[in-house]
Amino acid sequence: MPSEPTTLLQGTLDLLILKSLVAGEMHGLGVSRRIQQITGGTFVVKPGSLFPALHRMEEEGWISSFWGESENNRRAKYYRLTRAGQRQLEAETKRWGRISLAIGQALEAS
Amino acid sequence: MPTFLKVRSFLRNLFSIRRVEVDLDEEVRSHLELLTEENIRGGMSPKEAQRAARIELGGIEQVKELVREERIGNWLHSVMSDCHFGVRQLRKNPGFTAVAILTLALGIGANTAVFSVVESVLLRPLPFQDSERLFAIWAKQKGQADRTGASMPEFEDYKDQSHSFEYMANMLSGWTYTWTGQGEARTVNCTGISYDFFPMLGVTPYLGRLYRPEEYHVDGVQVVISHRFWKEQLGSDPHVIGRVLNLDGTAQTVIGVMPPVSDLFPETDVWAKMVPDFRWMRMRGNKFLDLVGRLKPGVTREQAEQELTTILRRGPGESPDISVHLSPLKDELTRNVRSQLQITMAAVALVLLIACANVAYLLLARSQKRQSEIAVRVSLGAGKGRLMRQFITENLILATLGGTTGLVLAVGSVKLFDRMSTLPRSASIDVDVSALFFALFITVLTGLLVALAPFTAFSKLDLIARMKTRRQEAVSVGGSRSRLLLVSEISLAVVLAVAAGLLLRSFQQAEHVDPGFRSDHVLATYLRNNDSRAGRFFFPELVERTSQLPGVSAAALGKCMPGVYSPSATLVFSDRPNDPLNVPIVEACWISSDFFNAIGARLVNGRFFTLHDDANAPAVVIVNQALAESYWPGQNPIGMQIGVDYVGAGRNVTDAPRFREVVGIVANVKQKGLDLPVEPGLYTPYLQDETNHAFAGFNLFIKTVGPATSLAGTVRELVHSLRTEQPIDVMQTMNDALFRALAPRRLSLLLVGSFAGLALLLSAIGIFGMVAYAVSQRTHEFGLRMALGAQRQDVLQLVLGDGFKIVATGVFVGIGASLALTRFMRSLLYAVGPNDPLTFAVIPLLFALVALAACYMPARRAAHVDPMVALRYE
Repeated sequence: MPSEPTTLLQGTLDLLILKSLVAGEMHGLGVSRRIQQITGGTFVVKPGSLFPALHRMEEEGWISSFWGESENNRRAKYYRLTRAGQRQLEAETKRWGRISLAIGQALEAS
Repeated sequence: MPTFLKVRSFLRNLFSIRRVEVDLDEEVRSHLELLTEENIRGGMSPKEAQRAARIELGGIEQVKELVREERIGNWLHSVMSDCHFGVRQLRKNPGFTAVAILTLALGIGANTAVFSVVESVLLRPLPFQDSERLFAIWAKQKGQADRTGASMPEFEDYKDQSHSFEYMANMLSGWTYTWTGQGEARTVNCTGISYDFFPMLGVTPYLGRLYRPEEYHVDGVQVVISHRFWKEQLGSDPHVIGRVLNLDGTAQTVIGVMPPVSDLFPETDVWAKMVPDFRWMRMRGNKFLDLVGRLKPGVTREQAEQELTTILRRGPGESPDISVHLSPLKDELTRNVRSQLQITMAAVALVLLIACANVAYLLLARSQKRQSEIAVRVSLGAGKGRLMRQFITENLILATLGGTTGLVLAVGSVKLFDRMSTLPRSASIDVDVSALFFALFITVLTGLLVALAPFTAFSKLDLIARMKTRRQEAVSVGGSRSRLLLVSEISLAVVLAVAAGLLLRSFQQAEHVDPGFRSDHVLATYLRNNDSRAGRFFFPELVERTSQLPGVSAAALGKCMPGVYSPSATLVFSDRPNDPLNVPIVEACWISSDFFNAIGARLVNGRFFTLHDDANAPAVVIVNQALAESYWPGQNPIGMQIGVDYVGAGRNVTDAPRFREVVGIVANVKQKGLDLPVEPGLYTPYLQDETNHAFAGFNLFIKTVGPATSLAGTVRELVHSLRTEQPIDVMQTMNDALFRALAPRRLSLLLVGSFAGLALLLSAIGIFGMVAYAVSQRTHEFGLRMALGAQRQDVLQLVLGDGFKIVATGVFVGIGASLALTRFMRSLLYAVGPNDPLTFAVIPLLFALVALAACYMPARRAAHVDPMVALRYE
C-alpha cells in the first residue's frame, strides 16, 4: 500500500467508523453497511480494512466490544462508542473540518 | 485511561493469545455468515450467496492476518515466532546444536572467566581516595638491572623539598614480631608505615585511633592491628582497645584496628611504626624503603619524576646517573602478573575466535542443506531483511544458549581459580556486573559473527537454479569462504600452540637446567628469632644438635633459600680503584659451615667454611663462579680481599665495608629462582656477622638419609626443647618450596596450555567436519571415479590431499603470525628464544598429525564407497 493515501484513508476510516457508531451499537457488517449508507455509497469498506481498524480502535480505547445476538439470532460481535471514542470523534470532526476547509480554499484559489 | 487499556491489550495479546485468536476467528466467521444471510435476503440462492460472501470477505486467513498485524505487540510475536522457528531448527539437528553450543560455551565461558580475573586484578581501581593519583616511587641507576627503594634521609629530602605531592609515605613490609604469652609463640606479620600512609589512602581506623606523629619516634609501646588479625587471632574482641600484646618481648598496647585493605599487603597482622631515629634508618646508602605518594591534582607524573630526580641527585655522594620513577600504585601491586594475565587474555580471545570460526563453518555447511528451504521462502516473498533477521535470531539463540552455559562454566572456574590463585588483589576476584556485561557483549558479538557466514552465502543464492534441482552441491566446502574460515582457525590455533610450546619449553628449562644444588631429601624450616642476641647462642647449638640427629647427613643454616630468594650485598675491591657512585650489588648469604653439603653444591676451587671460621678467625668469603668470572676473568681469585657490606633493613653498625679473604669458589647456585639467570654471588660465615643482624632468623636446612618429611616431628621437638617460645612458621621439603616458587610459571603454562589444547581440539573438529562433509557430498563423484577404474588408494589420497592443503596453508600462516607475535611474550620465557626452533618445528608436525587423524576416518569411508551404491545415490 502506498503510504500517503493510507494515512489519509486511515484517518478517514476511523472517523467514519466512529461516526457510524453514534447511531448505536452494531456488529462489523452493520458498521460497514452504515458507512456505505451515510456516504451515499461512496465508501465501501472491505472486511480486510474494517476488522484491523476495529481492533486497533478497540486497543486505543475508542470503542468497546461484546458478543451479542443479531436480528436473526446469530452470535455476532458488537461494537459501541466509549467516552474516549466520543472525544476522539469530536476532535477528528474538528480536524476534518479544518482540513476540508483548507483543501477547499486551496483548490478555489486561482 | 487509554494507556491502561493499551497495556491490558498488550498483555492479553501476549499471554491469552489463544483466546484472542479464537475470538477473532469466530468474529470473522460470523461476519461471513451475516454476509451470506444478507445475500440470501437479497434473493440469491444459498450457494451463490455463500460464494459472493466469500468473495467480498476476501479470505478468512488473510483478514485475520491483517488484524494480527495491527495488534499491539505484534513485533514481539514475530520475534517470538522467529525464535520458535529457530529453536525448532536447532532441535532438528541435535548433534550440530550440541557441538555448536558446547563450542561457544567453552569460548564464552573461558573468556568471561579470564576477563573476571583481569578485571578484578588489573583493571578495577584501587578502593582508595583519589586512587588514580597514587604512585609508587622508586629509583634506578643507569646500567643496573634492579631498581632501588629510598633511604630515610632521601625520603625526608623529598618531603621537605618536593611540591608535587599531597601526601608521601614510606613503608616496609615482610618483617615480623614474635607474639608470646598466648599459648604457643606465634609469628606476626608486620608492615611498617609512616604517619601519612593511611590519611593518604583515605582510610580511617575501624576501631580506636592511629599513631600520633610524636609516637613514631618511640619503638613499640602502642600498636595498631589489622582487621584480619583482630578477627582471626583475637576473636573480634570488642574490647580490644587497651589490650596488651607481648610482641618481641615488649608489652604493646593495642590502640587501633584498621578496616580490611585487602589490596595492600593482605598478609599484614600489625601496622607497625617506621621509626626514623634508628641508626640504620639514618644511613643514606640504606635504600630499602618503599615510597608511595599521592600527587597534587594537576601535577603530571613526569613533572613529579623530574622534581624528585633533581632532589635525589643533590644528595651527598649521589650518582648523576640515578633517576626517580613513578608508577601507578595499582600497576605496581600487579607488576609481576601483568604480562602473564595479558598473555592469558590474548590466548583466550584467540580461543573465542577459533570457536566462532568453527561454529560459523558448521552453520555454513548446514546452510547448504537449507538452500532449498531458503529458496522457497525467498520466492514466496520473504525479503532480505526478514531473512537476515531470521538468521540473526537463530544464531543469537545459539549464542545465548552457549553464553548461558559459558557463564555457568565461568562462575565455576573463577571459584576454582580463586582457590588456587596466588595473584595479588585476589581477594576481590569474582564474576561481577562488568563481567556479566562482558559476557553479554561477546555473546551478541559471537551471534552476529557466526550469522555472517551463512547469510553472505545465501545472499548470492541463485534461486532458479536452486529450485530446478534437488541435488545438493558441495559448493561451500570447496568454496573459498569455508576454506578461509578453516585456514584462519588453524592458523590461530597454531599461534596458541606455539605460545604454549614456548611456555612449556621455558618451564622444562626452569625445572631441568642444573640449578647448582640438589633439593631432594632436604627439609627446610624458617626460624624467626627477632632477638638477635639470643640467636647467637640458639642457632649454633641448634645446628650442632640437629646434625647429630639419627637420619641426618648434614644440617646447616642459611639466610637465603636457594631457588627462592637471596639477600644482597655491595662489593668493594682492594685490587682496583672503586667507583663510589657505581657500587656493584651481588647476591650474598650468611651460611653455616655445612651449608653447601646440605644443599649439595659443588666446590670448584679452594675450600668450604669450617666450624673454625668464627668471630675470632680472619674474615673470609666464598664466591661463586659467576662472580669470579665477572671480576677476575681468567684469574684465580683465591686469596684476594673484597669488602662486603650487606644491604637491607638491619644493616646496623658501620658504614665501612669489612674486607674478607676469598677462600673458595663454589659452582653457580641459582639463588633467586630456578627461572632466573645465575648472578654473581658470595657467601659469608654466619659466625662472622659482628652486627648480629643475621641472627634474627635463619633457614635451617636438613639433608636427610630417608624421606625428608620423616624428620619433621623430631626437628620440631628439638627446636622447642632448645627454645620453648620459638615459632616455627613453615616446615617444608625444599622440593615443595621450589614447586611453590614456580607456581606463577606453572599457572600461565597451565592456562595457555589448556587454551592451546582446546584450540587444537576445536580445529581438529573443524577439519574432521569439513572433510566428512565434503566426502558425503562427493559420494557420487567417488563412485564414478571408482567405476572408471580409480583405486581405493587414489580416492584416499584425493581426500587426504584436499584436507592437507588447507591444514598446510593454515599452519604456514600460523607460523608466520607466531614469528611476528611471540616476541611480545619474551618476559614470560626462560632460556628459550621467542623463535625457538624446536617449538617451531614440533608444532607444525603436531598439527599435521592431528589433521591426518581428523581426515583419516572420512577419507577411509570415501575409499570404501561401493561404486554401485554411490552411482544410484540420488
